[in-house]
Amino acid sequence: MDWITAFAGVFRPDVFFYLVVGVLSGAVIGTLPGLTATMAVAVLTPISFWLEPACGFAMLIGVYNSAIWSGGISAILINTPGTPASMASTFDGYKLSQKGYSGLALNINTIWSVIGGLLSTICLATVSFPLARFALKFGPAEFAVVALFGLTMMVSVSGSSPIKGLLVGFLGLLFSTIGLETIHAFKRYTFGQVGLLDGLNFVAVMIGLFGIGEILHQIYTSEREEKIVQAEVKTKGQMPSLKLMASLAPQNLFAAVVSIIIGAIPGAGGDIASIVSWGNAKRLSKFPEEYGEGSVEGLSVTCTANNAVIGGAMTTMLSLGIPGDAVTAILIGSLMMYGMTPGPMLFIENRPFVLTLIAQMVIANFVILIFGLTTSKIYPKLLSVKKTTLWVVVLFCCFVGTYAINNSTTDLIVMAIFGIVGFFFKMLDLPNGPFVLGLLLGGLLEANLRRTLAMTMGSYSIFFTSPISVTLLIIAIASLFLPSLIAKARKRFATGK
Amino acid sequence: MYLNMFYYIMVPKGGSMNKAGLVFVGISIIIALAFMIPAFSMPGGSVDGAPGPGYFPIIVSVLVIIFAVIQGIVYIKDGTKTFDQTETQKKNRPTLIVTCIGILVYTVLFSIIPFIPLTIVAIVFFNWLYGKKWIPNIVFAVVFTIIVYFVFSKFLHVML
Repeated sequence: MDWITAFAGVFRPDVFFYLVVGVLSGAVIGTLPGLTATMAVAVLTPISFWLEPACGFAMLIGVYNSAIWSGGISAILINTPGTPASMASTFDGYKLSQKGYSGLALNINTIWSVIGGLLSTICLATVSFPLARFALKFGPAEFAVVALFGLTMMVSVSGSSPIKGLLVGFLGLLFSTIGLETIHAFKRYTFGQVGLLDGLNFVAVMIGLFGIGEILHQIYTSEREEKIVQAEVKTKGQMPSLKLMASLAPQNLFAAVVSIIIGAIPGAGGDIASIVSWGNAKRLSKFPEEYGEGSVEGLSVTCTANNAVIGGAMTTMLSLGIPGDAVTAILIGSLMMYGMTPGPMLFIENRPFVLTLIAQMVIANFVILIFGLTTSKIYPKLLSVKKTTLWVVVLFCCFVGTYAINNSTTDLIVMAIFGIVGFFFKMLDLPNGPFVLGLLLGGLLEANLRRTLAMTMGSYSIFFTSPISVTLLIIAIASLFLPSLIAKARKRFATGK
Repeated sequence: MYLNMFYYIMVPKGGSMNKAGLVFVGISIIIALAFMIPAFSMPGGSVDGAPGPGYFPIIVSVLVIIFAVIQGIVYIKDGTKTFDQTETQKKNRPTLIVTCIGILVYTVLFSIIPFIPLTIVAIVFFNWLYGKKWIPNIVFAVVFTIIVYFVFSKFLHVML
C-alpha cells in the first residue's frame, strides 16, 4: 500500500512536471561535454529548495539519472564523453557511429542505461531498508566510525596522489568547523558574520568548486573559436531487435550487479564501473576481438554500468548518510536543507519520502526511455552550441542559484571564492572530492566523537570493544587499500583494451 | 608590478608547477595555524570527559600541517616540470583574470545594484570578453536576464 501511494505521488501533476523538467535539463547538460552530472545537480539544487521536497527531489533525481544517461550521447556521436561516467562508451559507441549505426548506438545507450538504472533502483528498494534497520543499532561511537570510514574514501577519490587527497580532505574537515559547534553552541571562526553561524553553505561551496571552477578552467584551457564537431544521426531501421536485446542480457545483468556494488563504495563512481564492466565483458565475450571496434555488446555494458552505479550510491547515501559520489554528496546537502538527515532515522521519520524518492527513480527511468528513443535527431543541433554561450549561461545560473538558497550575499561570496579555489585545484591537480567529503562528514565525525567521549568519560576504548565499531574500523582500514586495487584493475583493463 | 604579482598569484606559470604547489602548501599551513591558534583559547572540555570546542580543530590543524609538510617535501624532491603552459593557456590568461575579477565585482555589486540592469551589463561584458558580436550579445543578455528574472522572481519567489 505504501508503495502504491508512493508511485501515485509521483504522478501528481506538479511532481511529474518537475521530474520531466529534471530529465530534460539533465539531458541537455549531460549531452554537452564539459558540463557534468555533478555540475547539473549542483546548479539546479538551489532551485529545488523553493519547491516542496517531493517536487524538488523529483527534479534532482530526474537530472541525476538523465545526465548520466545523456553523457553517452556525445560519447557516441563525437567521441567525447558528456560526463566522466560515459568515458568507456566512446570505445565502441563512436566506432558504431562511424560505421553508420549512430541511431542504433543511441538507442542501445538509452535502453541499457534505463535497464541499468531500473536494476539498481530495485537494489536500492530491497537493500537500503535492511541496511538502515541494521544501522539503527548504531550509537555515537559507531556513527563516528561510519564518518571515519567515509573519510577514508578521501584516499580513493584522490586520483594519482593520496597525500594530496588527504591534505585537501583535512582542509575540508577544518572548514567544516566554521559556525556554531553542536555540543556547546560555541561560535567558531564566524568573524561576527551571522551568515556563517550555520557554517559554510555546503551547496554554495559545491557550486563554486564544480560549477565556477570548471568554467574558469575551460576559459583558461579551451580554444574560444573551437566549435563542437557536427554529427549526423541516422534513425531509420536502427531500433535493436528483441533477439539482440535478449542476447545481450546476461553480460548486462552481470555488469549491473558489479556496478551497483562499485556505486555503493564511496568514491568509486560511474567511470570506474563502466571501464571495469567493459573489461569484464570483453574477457567473457565470445567475440572479444570486436571490442573497441564497434561492439554492440561492449557499448551496452558500459551504458548499463554507469546508470547502475546510481542505485548503489543512493543506497549508502540514504541508509548510512555516506555519499557514494559527488552527486550524492550534493543530495545529502539538499536533504539537510529540507530538514532531513540521511541515515537510518530517515527511514523511520520520513519513510514515505524515501519510498517516493525510490518511486521517482523508477519513473524517471521510464521518462528517459520515452524521451531518449524519440529525440535522437535533436542532439547534433544541441552539440553545435558555442562553448562561450554555455560559459555565460552556467556562470549566471550559478550566481542566481546560489543567491536563491538563502537570499544571502554571503553565500555568493563563498561561491565566488570557492570557484577560484576550484580552478586552482584543477590546475594544481588537487582533487575536489576529498574536500567535499571532509566538509560534509566533518560535522558528523566531530559531533559523534565528542558525544562518545562524553559518554565514556573521555575513554576511547569503546571504539575497540563495540563489535559493530570494530567491524566498521576494520572495513575502514581495509578500504584504505582499495584505491591501489582499483588502480591495478584499471591498469589491467586499460592494457586489455 | 602589482599586475605581475596578480599574474603570479592567479596562474601557475609554465614549468613552475612545484613552485605553485609549494605556495599551496604554504597557504595550507597558514590556514591550519589560523584555525589552530584561536582554538587554544576556546573553552575547555567538561568534567564528564567531553572535549571542548577547540579539540577537533586542533587535531585537524595538526593533520593538515603534517600532510602539508609531507606534500611540500614531495614537491621539492620532484624536481621535474609537470606543468607547461600551452600557447592557448598563455593567450587565455588575461581573459581568465578579467573573468575572475568580473565574478568578484558582480558578487559585490549584487546587493547594491538592482538585478536586471546589473546582470544585463555583466552578461554583455562577459560575452564581449569571449568575442561575441554586439547585436547577438545584447539580445542574448536582455532575453536571458528577463527569463532568469521571471523564473526566479515570479515563479520561485526569490527576492532578486
